[in-house]
Amino acid sequence: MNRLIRIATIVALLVFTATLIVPIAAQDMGSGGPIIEPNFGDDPTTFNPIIANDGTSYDVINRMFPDFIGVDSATIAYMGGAKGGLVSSWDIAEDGVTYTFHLRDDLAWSDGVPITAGDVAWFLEATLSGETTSPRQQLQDSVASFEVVDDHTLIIVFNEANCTLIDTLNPVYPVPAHIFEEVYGDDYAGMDENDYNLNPTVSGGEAFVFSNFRPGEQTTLLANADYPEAELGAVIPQGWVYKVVTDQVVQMEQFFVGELTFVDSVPQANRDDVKARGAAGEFQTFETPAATIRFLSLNIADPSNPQDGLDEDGNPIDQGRHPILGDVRVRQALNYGMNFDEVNEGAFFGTGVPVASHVRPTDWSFPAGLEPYPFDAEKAMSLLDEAGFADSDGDGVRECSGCMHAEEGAPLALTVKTNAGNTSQEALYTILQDQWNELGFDITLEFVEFGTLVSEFTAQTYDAIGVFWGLATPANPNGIADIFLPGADVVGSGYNTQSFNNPRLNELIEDARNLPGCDLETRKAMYGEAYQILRDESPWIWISTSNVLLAAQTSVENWAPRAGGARWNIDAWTIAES
Amino acid sequence: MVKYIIRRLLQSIPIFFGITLISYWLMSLAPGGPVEILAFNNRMKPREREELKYILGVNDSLPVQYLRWLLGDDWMRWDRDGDGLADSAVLVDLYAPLLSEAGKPLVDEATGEVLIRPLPPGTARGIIRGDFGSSIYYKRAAIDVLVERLPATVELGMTSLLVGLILGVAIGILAAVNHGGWFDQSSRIGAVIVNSIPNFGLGLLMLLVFGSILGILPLGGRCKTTLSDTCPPIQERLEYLILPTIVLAAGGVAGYSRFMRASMLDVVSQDYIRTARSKGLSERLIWLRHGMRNALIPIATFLGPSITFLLSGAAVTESVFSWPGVGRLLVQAPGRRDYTVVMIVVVYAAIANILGYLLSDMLYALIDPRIRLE
Repeated sequence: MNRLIRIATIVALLVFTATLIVPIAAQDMGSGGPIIEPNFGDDPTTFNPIIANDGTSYDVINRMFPDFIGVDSATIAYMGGAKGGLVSSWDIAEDGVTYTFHLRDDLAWSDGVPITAGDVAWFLEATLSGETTSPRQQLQDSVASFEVVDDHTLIIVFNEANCTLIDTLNPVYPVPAHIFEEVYGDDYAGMDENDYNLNPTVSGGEAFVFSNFRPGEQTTLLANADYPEAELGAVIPQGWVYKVVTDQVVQMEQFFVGELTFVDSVPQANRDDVKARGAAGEFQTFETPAATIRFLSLNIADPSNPQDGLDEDGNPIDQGRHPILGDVRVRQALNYGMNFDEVNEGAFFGTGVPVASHVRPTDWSFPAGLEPYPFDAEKAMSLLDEAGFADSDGDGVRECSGCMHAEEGAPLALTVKTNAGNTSQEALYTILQDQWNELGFDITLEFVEFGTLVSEFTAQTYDAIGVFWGLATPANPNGIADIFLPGADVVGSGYNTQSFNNPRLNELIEDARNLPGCDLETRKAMYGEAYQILRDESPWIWISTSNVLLAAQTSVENWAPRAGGARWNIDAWTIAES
Repeated sequence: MVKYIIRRLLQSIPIFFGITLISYWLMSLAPGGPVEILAFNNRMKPREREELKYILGVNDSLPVQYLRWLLGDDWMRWDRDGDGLADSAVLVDLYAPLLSEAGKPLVDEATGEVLIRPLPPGTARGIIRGDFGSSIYYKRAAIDVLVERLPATVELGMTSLLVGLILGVAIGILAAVNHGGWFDQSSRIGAVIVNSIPNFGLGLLMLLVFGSILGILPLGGRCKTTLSDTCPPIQERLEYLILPTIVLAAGGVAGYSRFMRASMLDVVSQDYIRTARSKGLSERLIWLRHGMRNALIPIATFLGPSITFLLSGAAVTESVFSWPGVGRLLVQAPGRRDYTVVMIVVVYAAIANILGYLLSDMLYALIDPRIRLE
């Protein structure tokens, strides 16, 4: 009998232990249910980081390949050892161009092969070959050579020493060289059309690994069992599904009924509702500055005869002047004539944040005292008077009367174009049209199909075009070189489509980039002066940035977005059964 | 019948080429082009941009570009000696100017002649030989991009057609039988209302009511979101078809019902119906056997174009319901100047149209014994 009692006790203890173990196991890898995130765009075009060139592809790639150098989500700066990065530290040689990168040794591909310097070298080799359609040409411009010292040490030699070299490595990823060698070989030119691009067999080093891609429907990643950086010791979500939902109304309805786990940008029309429901505990919400700036590019050169900014020897070319926008006073008048409060309420539902130049207040290079133009209609009109535009016939539209570049009697008429179908852009420019017409302008609005708009933008045949500009994270103030330096004023492809050329600005940007020692405060002062020049000269009208609202279901535990990254701890998100 | 089909198919050939020619020409009229989209890159040098034009062949005249798309360019520029560079050419240039970094032709200072470089031989085989080219945006064969979207479009299109036809014919018959009555009036008003609401609005309304408020049907998509690499068989996900089918079929129901009603009323005034009545046949038999069968004949003329329309993808409905079909593809491709995808969808729609009308005619002959296709 005693024996029976002992056996029964042992069995009971085992059962009791098992009941304890099961819930613990339930907290293990993949126990948290999948994260379902909406993809408002379209299918990814590739999962190969060497040739990826669209946001949707990168959204997936960033979940399944580690960055070369990680960004610390708290400081929003590149940092050795930052989560999600392969580089644990780096040394800079005295020559300023030789960087030795030390790589972590605990990351592995999904087939168990360790991620090494050779994997980064394969990416660089293919990209620097110039044979792929990789959009990463800045690497070709800046990297002179590289050398794999050992599995976890890589030396990169740059062409010249400057303060932005780490930024130029932003698009570098390790790729599984043992697989890529087999699949692509040295046929870099044929890489684009390889079926492997959408059917990768090996990924890893991040929280998820590739599972499958269903065109027009979804891309699915699964929890990475060997992810060493998991906050809770293992990747909790079962997987990550990037689901195509092409209508914003439907997207939000899916979120409201719980079909979507997380929305990383609540549409403006739903913001108040989601915020209110968030405050009532129905959802989790988080607001953070967007990485985009809304701007109106003002063509300073003659749009009837677009020409590059520089000739083959680097000398400025006479591009003529825009009859109206060629005069800085007119550009300033447009700035003073913009009533931002009215625009913000009418077009952005009050979510806009005015900006003075090509920098956000949260960026390290933001200078104290840089202020947006205040709304001052009288000042705007006085500038137009000074510029030689007066309403001589009383029809409400000013005409050239001694102006600098237009013919005498020519009306102060401009055509403003923006992309059709974007309701906030259409509302914005409709309001601005009224505001500027009050000053004596004759603004014609055209809402143009986006592809056509891009063509006109790069062809430099426009008066004014309003679109968005994405800002890098971490912020790289040298980015303005690509937009406002004369070298970028290339008809057909350059981004300096407004043909802006200011010698002092050119000098400041070069100096800030090449400052010996790269002292941050000195560079900040240089960029500060550059931003002030841009604000005063107004080749663009910087209209606003905005705060984006992120929302997640309350059932998602450990959802803790930061300004530096909403998904920095995605491996710990636990989706409770609801 | 066989002769007729062959003759119609032969007649379709110039129609097909006409459609493709006009579509190609219209597309070329759109501002910008693939070069502008691909060259929207600050790092791209003017020389690279100009060379891209040669690679894409956009410097050639429009007829040559069309011919290249149609017949390929492996016969336009070819390599006889196998050195990888073209040594013979017709219609297109054998050489391109050597360009400076600024994209300008380089000139020999001594002779004043433009320096040239040989071009690689053409590799495109043209759509006639099944080569539809690569999608500029998706960077893979355009035919693959189309084919992977077809099953979803066929699934939704055929379901909508079936539902539209069955309901439309039934409502039309009932309206004719009760003409002037409450059902007839209601169906007329219903048809006007349905035809007045755009698919976009109707789709969103349905989603909000049945998906969001009542929560009894899914909010778009083709199947439940899972980690699986495929959707389950259609019978296991019928609920996903209900709303998009209703939206797509609504117009068909409205159209078929009005047409069927008119056709029925026309038929029942015929002498043979009067004869049937005088023979003492029941009203049910008269309406269904003699009336409906004859009234259905004109419906056949609708069927072909309807199939074409539904198989070509319903862009708006597919977008609202996140349905992964051809229609959505067609909406997105022109904005990206993805000409190869636009043109493959045009070719597909043109073939579907031609076959759809042929099917109509054949059905007409099969249903109506008075018609002989010769």
